[in-house]
Amino acid sequence: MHGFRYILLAALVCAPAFAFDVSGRASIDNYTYLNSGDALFGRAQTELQVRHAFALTPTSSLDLNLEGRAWLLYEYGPLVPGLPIGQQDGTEIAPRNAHVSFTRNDLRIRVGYQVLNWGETFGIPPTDIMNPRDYRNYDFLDSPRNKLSIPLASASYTFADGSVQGFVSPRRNAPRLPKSLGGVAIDDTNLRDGWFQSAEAGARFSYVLSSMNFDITYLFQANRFPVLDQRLAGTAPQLVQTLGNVHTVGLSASKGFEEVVIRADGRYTADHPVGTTLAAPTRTYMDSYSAVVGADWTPTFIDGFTIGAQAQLDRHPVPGVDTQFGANLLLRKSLFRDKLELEGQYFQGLRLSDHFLQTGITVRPAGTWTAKVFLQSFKPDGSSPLRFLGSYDRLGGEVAFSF
Amino acid sequence: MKPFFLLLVLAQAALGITADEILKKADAIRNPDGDYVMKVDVESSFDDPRSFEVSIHGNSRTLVKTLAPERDKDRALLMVDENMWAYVPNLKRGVRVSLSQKLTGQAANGDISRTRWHGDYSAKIEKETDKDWTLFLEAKKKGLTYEKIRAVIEKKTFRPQSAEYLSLQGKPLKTAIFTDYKSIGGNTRPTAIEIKDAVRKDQSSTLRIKSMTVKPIPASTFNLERFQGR
Repeated sequence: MHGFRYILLAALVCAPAFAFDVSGRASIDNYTYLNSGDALFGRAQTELQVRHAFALTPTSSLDLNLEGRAWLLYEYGPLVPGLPIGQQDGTEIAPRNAHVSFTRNDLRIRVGYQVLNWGETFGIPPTDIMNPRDYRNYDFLDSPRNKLSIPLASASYTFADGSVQGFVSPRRNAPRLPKSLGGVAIDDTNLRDGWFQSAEAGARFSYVLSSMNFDITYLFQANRFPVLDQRLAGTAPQLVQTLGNVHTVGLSASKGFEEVVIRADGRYTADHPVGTTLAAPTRTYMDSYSAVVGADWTPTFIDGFTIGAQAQLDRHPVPGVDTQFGANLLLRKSLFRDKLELEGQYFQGLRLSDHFLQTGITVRPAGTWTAKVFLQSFKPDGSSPLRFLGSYDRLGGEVAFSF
Repeated sequence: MKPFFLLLVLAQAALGITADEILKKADAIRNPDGDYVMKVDVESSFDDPRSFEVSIHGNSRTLVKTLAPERDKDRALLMVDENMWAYVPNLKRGVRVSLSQKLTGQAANGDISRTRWHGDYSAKIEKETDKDWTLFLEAKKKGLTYEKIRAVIEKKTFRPQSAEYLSLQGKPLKTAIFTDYKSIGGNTRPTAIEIKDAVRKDQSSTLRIKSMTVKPIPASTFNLERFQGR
């Protein structure tokens, strides 16, 4: 990671001299828990991107993209209710999309840290699993900021209405969890694969057929859903985060009509490891799947308005939890020449009480300033695989400046 | 010069130029042959001024990048045939959007992305005067911005003068006036298009073509995977 810092610094220093394209974003966000005492915390975050394209020949080019992120929590409070103050990461500097791409005609090879964003549906598309999620982050929805960048070599070949891609990562990549949950420490030392000790690989085929685009994905990778084994460290309970290798196939599709878009995402993972307990210490495996189908409508007679609805089914690798059903709703309206946007996303479990609501107002007054206020309410069901994140209502605000 | 043009008009009449040929020649006035990139400013009565870089490959592949305002700089639209995707900077991915999504103000995506009518519309001569033809165009395929168009083409030059965009039922939606003919992109072309709402008369947008560069653009530029993985 230190090496990346030096590269970024060097690129920044060299930027004016070599006419690099430098852009970035600085933001401050604050969260207040409405139902958990005095919990208040904030984060200052900077993202920096340096880009330059070197034209090699008329048909080939080399593109450099160095993007990194640094953040610090400037007032400690629990990211997750129940997590003791101090038992969390307070600062971080990490690469995001830091890669070199070689493009020749229809072929592109890209090597470096990458964050790939896949899926058609809103919320958290089930097929968006190339990069592990960062569960330390406290925004759930599909912001790419909630994903961890991974080292990846990828090659893509495009043709008239589609593309074929291949991916290889020189190590296994694990989801990142807080340092402890509910006061129980998480041991993640098992996750530290060295470079080239193991690998992840995948392929993706994308095609547009009769105005419907679809993507078929196959991935051989470490499990993206966190697996925690219960252990005892002496007499103290401990959770050990574990990795297994899983095969996943995914399918995404969408089709647009005059005012309506139909979307679908589905994923099937075979033999996903299941966390062990003190009472049942033997590792078991189960198949896991998730699928979302929905549509959104952007009527022409209401300017800047979109309404969307989705049906969702999930089977997570959690013992004793059967297939779960849910419904999702999206409302979005822009006002005042797109300077103000209202958005609400609501996820409700059917026949279980999982519930997540996020409403927000985004103001983009002028230039590159953005201010956002949002309310989040999360109430996982007792059988929800996300119950470890606890239940909360919180108010958040963010001010960001892009340059 | 006048007798010459009169002769030209008479010759065309004698040869019996078809509506389809007129449309093709009018398209050639608005668009260069082959691929091209243009910078377009849009001023709207009910929206902030915006600038776009528009890359056009044939009549069915268009990439529109927002250059201004600053806050929308990373936004882009990819149009392939009757499909459209928007690159959303927050999500850092392209999401499919419905065809009714507006570009800005009164300017629909089709106003700058599908500027060739020939091939998309069947044409017939509705009216003819000494100076111009009025062509009535009907969509040959689904998903076009306008179902029907009534276009006025100058006989002398095949320059489009104005267009009336109509709904499927023939109800006027918008009118467009093509003005400010200048030498650009290797020919004399309209560099300003004023689009007015047919119902809300106070709502209008003016598209100004600031530059037009004819150059080959790789087909992969218009590929969805490249668009999403920028």
